[in-house]
Parts: sequence; C-alpha cells; structure tokens
Amino acid sequence: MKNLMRLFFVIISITTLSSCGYNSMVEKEEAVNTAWSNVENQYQRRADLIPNLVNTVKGYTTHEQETLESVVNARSKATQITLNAENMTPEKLKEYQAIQGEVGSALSRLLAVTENYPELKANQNFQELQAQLEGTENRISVERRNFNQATQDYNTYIRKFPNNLFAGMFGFEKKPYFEAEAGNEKAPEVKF
Amino acid sequence: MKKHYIILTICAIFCILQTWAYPYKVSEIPMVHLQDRTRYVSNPDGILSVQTVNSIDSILYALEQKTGIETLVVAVNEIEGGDCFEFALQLGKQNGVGKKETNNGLVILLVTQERCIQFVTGYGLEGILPDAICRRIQTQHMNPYFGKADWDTGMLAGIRAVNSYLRNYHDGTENGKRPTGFSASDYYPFIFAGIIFIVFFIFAYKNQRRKNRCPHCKKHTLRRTDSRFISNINGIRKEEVVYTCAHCGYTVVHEEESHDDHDGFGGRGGGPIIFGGGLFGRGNGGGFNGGSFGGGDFGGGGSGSKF
Repeated sequence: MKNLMRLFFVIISITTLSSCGYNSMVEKEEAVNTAWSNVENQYQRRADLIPNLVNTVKGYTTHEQETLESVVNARSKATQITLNAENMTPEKLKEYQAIQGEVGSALSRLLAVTENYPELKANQNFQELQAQLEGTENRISVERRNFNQATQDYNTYIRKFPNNLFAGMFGFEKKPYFEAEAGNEKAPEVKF
Repeated sequence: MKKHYIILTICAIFCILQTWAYPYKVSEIPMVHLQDRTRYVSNPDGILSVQTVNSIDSILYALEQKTGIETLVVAVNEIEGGDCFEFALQLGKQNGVGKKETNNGLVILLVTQERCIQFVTGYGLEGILPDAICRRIQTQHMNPYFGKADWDTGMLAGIRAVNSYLRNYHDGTENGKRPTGFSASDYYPFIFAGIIFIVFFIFAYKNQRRKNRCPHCKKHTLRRTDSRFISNINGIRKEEVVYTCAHCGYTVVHEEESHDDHDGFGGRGGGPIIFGGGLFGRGNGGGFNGGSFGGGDFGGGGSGSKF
C-alpha cells in the first residue's frame, strides 16, 4: 500500500512538474549556460591569438614597448578571471566585461600603432593575424548577442505567471545581461 | 485645379524614384536561389554582367553538388546601416544559408558604395575556410580589380579562388578517409538485406516442407504424381493434383488454382503498365524548379576588407 502511494505521488509530481514549466525552465537555463560557454570560448580564442600577434609586432617595431606591455598585461588579467554561468550576478558580469573590454581597447591601440609601420602591414602573417583577430571580435559580438537573447528568453519565462511561483520554489533566478561596451559611448580621441 | 493634379503626379513619381534609390534592407535582397536552384547570385542593381553571373552560378552549382556547401553571392550599390559584416551575417542567418546539420553556408557580399567585400562563413565552414584564407583571397584576387571598379573580373576571380580552395579541401579529406575502409554503418544496408533474404528463405523452405508432408506417416516424402485439368475461367486455371507418399504409398488429392499467363485475357496482363510507369515516374530532372537553403546558422566567422 505504501509503495502504491509512493508511485502515485511520483506520477502526480511528474505530471504537475512538467505542466508548471519546470522542465522548460531547466531547458532555458541550459540554453543560457551553453550561450555563455560560447561567449567564453570566443574570448579565450582572442586571448590565444594575442601572444602570436605581439611577437609579430615586436619584430617590426622599436618604440612601442608600452603599448605591447599593456596588451600583454590586459590579457594576463583576462585569462585569470573565469565566470560561471550558474552563479552569475550583474556585478560579476560587469567586472568580467570591464576586464575583457580592457583587452579590446589595448588591442585596438596596438593595431592603430601598427599603421605607422608599412613593412609590418605588408607582412602576410600579420595580415592574416589581423583577419583572425577581426573575425574573433565579430564572433564575440555575435555570441554576446546570442547570450543576451537566451537570457532574455529565460528571464521572461521565469517571471511570467504562474511560472514565477515555481521558479522561486526551485531557485531559478533572473540572470544578468551583457551591456553595451563602456568604451563605445565615448567618441574616439584624436591626437596630433 | 488641374495644375494640382500635375504637381501631385510629379510628387508621386519622385516618391517612387526615391524609394528605388533607397539603400537595401536585408529582407529586400531578392533571393534568386529560391526561384531557381541553379542560381546563387543576387545582382539587383546590375553591378555584375550577365556572363559573369552565369559563370559564377555554374561554378557554385557544381561546388554545391560536390561538397554540399551552399553559397549566396550578393552585389548591391548601397545597404542600410552601412555595416557590411552585420548585413552579410543577417543575410546568412535570415535566409538560413547552409545545411542545418552542418551549418556550411557561405555569404559573399559586395557593396560598391561602402567599398567593401565581406565573406561570412557558417559555424561548420569556419574550420574549412578560415578567416585568414578569406582575407588572403580578397587581397590577392579581388581587391586589385575592385579598386579599379572592375567588379566582374574581381568577383569571378574571387569565386574561382574560393571554389578551388574548398574543392582541394574536400578532395583532401576524401582521400584521407578512404584508406580507413568501410565503417560499420556502411554495412548496415547489406546486413539488413541479408537478414530479410534469410527470413524469406526460411519461410519458403518451411512452406515447402509443410506442403510435402504426408498426413499419414508424417514424413516429408509427398510427391506430385498426377494432375487433372478442371477449368480455366478468366485465366485462373483449376486442376486436381494427386500426391503420393514415397514412404507409405498414401495418396492425397488437392484442388489447386494457378494463374495462366498464356491466356491472360482479363486476368493479370499487367506487364506493359509496369513499363509504362517508367515513362512518367520522374518529374524532377528539370533545371528550373526552385531551390532552398537548408537553415544553416552563422557565428560571425569570415573576413571582410575595404578596397
């Protein structure tokens, strides 16, 4: 009799859990996690390209020690930080974004400096590295957008009635978004 | 009063002209591939010549037949927003260029006003056609001509370079795979056919055994010894067959029906119809039915450059 009651309870909980959207919440949360790991992959890819780029630039330039160092430093800072999709908070994501943004701006400074070295610009290896780097920046922005979409999908779902009741019960929390890059708000500075 | 009408018509004409001159949105680019599966080049502003479009189409059609890679080539004067990468990416994503399973789409966008050439590769093509190779093809084969506004030569040279690179890659992987021989999954159809054959054989054998089993001594020694014709109605032949057991001498008489093919008046007579089926069975060979893109996804791979 006890077994029968237990079976009954299991059946009831399976049907009600799937109808209250628990399974969908799990699916959507997993989609966010996947999207986040794609974002991290692309940042990692950029970090992997940097040593090669720095070495190539070093061979052609003489006075750009400072710019090169800032790229290397930003990279080493960025590779130390990892962020888990499961316990992501808005503050943590902001910090992560700021550190990755530093790498991005250091890189763009470096690429701006290379404009002064025609030989470097003519180097095929450098050209291809640059193409890869640009492609990676594109991929980062695509994956960030995908992440924001997955997050929005998840957030909207768990906040809707009646899912919000169950979401609170099972510990599904709202996840933060990527915000527009801080550096993009300012117009680029021109120095002569 | 009449003057007003004239002014209004002139205004209307200007409005129409204005909308024609507007930069393209992603959704406004005509997808010629959907009307005709052998065409891949969308050239609404006539930037490329007809001959160039035809040669590119035939190259890309052969490429898709061989490698399965779906390509979309777009050449326009102006795009909305002016961001070539974003535009090409959305072209690929919204039209689903590439197969869904492999995401092997490739979008090639030329915008003459922005002076940009942009390749975008699907997720599955990023490894086959890396960004660096895209850039190399652009700088070596396309940009020298594009710089002189020779769109035809540049585009054709670029497509040829992409084609030969992808073909070489494809041949390389094909040859790499061959020596490993058949994989287990290659054998499945044969195994399946073999099992069906064996089962069929067993049934036929059992049926035969059942038929020649003597009801008296239970030995499988019944032999057909005599038959007597009864009737032949509509090609169905009825006869009485006598079986004798070789072991105990017991005789059985069966009435059997068989189809008489020699006198097939209204009976079967189906032979010519089966042949006739072959004449009308296939309607898919024509080259003018619409194609489709497979729903591939893009992750921002590829490379673009200015000329």
